[in-house]
Amino acid sequence: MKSRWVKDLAPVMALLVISACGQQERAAETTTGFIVEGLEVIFLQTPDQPLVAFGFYLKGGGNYVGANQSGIEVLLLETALRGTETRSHKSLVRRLTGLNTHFDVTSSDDFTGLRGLTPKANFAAAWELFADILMRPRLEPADIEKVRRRMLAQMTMFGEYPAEVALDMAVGDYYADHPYRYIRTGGAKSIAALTRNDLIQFYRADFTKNRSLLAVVGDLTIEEVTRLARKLARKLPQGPDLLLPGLTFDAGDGGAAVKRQSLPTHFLTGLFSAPRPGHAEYPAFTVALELFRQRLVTQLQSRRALTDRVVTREGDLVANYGSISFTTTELVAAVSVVRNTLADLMSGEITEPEVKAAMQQRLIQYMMQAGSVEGKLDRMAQWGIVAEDWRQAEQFPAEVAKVTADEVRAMVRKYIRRIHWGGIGPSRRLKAGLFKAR
Amino acid sequence: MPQRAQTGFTLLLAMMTAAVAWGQSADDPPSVSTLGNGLKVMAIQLPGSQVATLQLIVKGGTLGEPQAQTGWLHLLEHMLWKGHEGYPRQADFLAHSNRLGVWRQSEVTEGWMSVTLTAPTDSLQAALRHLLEIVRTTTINQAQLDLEKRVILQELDRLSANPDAVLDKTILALLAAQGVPDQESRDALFNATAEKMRLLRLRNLLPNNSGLVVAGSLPRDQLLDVVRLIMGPWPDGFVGEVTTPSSADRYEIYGRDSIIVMAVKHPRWVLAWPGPPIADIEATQAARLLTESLVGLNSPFFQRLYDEGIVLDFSAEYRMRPGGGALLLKFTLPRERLANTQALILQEIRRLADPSYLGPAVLRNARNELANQMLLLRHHPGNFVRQLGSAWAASDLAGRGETAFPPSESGQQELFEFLQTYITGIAPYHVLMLDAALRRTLPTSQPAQR
Repeated sequence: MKSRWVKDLAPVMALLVISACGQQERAAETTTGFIVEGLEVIFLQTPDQPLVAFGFYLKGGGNYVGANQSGIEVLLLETALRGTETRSHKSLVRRLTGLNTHFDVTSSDDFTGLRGLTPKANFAAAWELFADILMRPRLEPADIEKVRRRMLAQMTMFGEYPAEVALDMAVGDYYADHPYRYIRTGGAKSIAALTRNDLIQFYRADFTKNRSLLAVVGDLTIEEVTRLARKLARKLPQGPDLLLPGLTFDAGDGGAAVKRQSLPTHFLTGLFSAPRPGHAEYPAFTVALELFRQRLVTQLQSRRALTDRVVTREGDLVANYGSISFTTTELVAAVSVVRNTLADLMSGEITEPEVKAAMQQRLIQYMMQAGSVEGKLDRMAQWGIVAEDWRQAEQFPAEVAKVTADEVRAMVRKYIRRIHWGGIGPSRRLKAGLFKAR
Repeated sequence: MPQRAQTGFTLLLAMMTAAVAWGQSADDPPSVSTLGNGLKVMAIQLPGSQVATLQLIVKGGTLGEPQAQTGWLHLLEHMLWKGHEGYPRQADFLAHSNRLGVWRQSEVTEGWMSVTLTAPTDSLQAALRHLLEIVRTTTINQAQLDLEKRVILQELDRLSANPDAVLDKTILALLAAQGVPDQESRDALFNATAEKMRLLRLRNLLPNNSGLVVAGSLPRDQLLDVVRLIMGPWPDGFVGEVTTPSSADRYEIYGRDSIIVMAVKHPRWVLAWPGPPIADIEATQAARLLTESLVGLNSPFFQRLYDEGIVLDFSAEYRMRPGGGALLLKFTLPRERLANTQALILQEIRRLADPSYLGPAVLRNARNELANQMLLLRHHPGNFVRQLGSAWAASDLAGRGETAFPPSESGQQELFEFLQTYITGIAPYHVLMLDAALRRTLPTSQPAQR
């Protein structure tokens, strides 16, 4: 835990005021981080916001859980949503709908969370329900089976989308022996094997303050949030210090995993290493990736008609990756264009107007994502856990605006250069060797 | 979890739910006006929004395309991003657009084409000028057009490998009863010439054939002033004939069912019922309430089919289409006892005929959901404007922002009437997707179910 957090209560620390944008006067939004009886809390006060979003997050996620129990947190929380020791499923549903409140489960390789969304007027009552689900899950065997069945079906369905298959293959090649790899490959097997006893033991050992983060966004006061957080904190054991396995790693030189399948086109996804959100190089990396996308759009799509779109993703994990994805019927030509575009970015000219254009695109994407109450909650929690400092999220736009052409080139050379491919499609020429650097 | 009633048309728009949604805040509902050149403008203030969003809706979509011109509007939509008189080279055009910080989206639906730009609030005027340049002066040359045809083929190939996209395309084709196989589309595409595309642009991209939704942090009057200043000089013209056939016109030409064999472990089943014209606000509201009532946590439909594990997933959507909406129910089914599962679903659908099946608590929850979704949407200006625009487009740019939502306590009667008129007792169009092994176990065609 970093020193920016006070040991108890009082929302002292980092107080960041974001000026409300737009011409119409609105009260400013204020983000505050504090500790309530050992429970870490981030609160974003959003005046005039009629909805409140809140989330309880277990840090570590699948990465902490390990391959044998991969999926246990989601199975546990989804089952908890089906009833508590004091409320049957029917009663829970009646109460949730009566309060016009939604709960759902979110997960990544780095955390798992239970989120709520409710009208401000119902927040106190919704919170009671939320705390009840977290603190007294019933975990009925029949409910576990229902949730398990759906989770497994969803995993199977993922395999029916070639784009997901290509991503999975690229992830496998990229992460090799890293824990993230086990999580992806171990999910279905471990979910099928988990017992109710596993869930109960896991719940008792791992729902602790040291693993938790509470995030709240809404038109509330710090006092209100503190009071409710304290009630929750008093019921949670402190638990041992959170020790996560070392996640940093070198993915090594690029590689490829391919699969031939009768499809109308080829689905290709390339992964490369990336700084984590909050890292000093992250803003420059995101601009570099956007510029890479724009160059690929020009070269692959506009000039050669080798694809109809190029999608990039900058990743949001501790041991992070960035990715590019596209489909093409002209496999060899497309791979060659990607290779040349990358080489050109590493050693050719990068102009300041190009960087500015990439930067503007990055900023508008950020603004579009950050508008809603749930978007704000996710961003705050994500950065609070993955970046270990939610304040980085607020500084991100200003940092992006400072990125230079030299920094962009440095990011391409350092991160994007070594691509790990996953590919699926019909061509006999779809072989791992096709992707090797020439 | 099942998807929330897909809000494709989420919120029968703001425009229609305006009274309810806006009633919960001090913000103004959208206003609709018409400029001197015939451009209809819907302006919405989203206080505090960091971005401004513009969506231009141009009437005329794929349903109105003659067979020999199938896919031409799609091609025209692509060509809008190829450059205009100010920046004829695409690379320069894109660089200019990117520097403005504009996020670009466009699509062609069955009934209209839309072009959406999202930009930082302080770039509203620049984004509007950019939009005007795109629609007025897009350059279309033959070499670029030929290249773009190949891009579209890449897109068609990509979509044809996606089970969801294939299902969607097939059910819409059944609804329109003009299922255009890919190959026909491709042939027609290659007949398009630059000259013909320019003519298509001149006959379609006109202010008097279009509506513009503009949303930003400025008060709506100021938004309108900016739009008037920039879009006012866009000259009107002669609008080519825009055909928007209703679903009923082509009903049952191709029959009501279809089976798709695709490599999916869990079969998908989509059922669709044509609904009333979007302009029939009460019926459309009832349809929207129905989709929300079906997927609500306290819905007996949800509890029976999803909660009890009969289906693995399902969603309900009221799709906005020209000439009339369509209720779509999409299910993911277990492989085992497929026919039995389908029978259980149909049995549950038949129960909708019982007025007490979706009771007051279910409807109350659905109404709350609609109001919540509206509140959430207003913080997603891009999504909000796109959905608002789609509903406006589906009603042929008719309707006004002030259109009242039915009083909050009503709904049950309208819903029941909607069910009786459009759903219960009416055989749906349906598409079943399953793999070859499972297909071999089925009879040669699926009987239309009543």
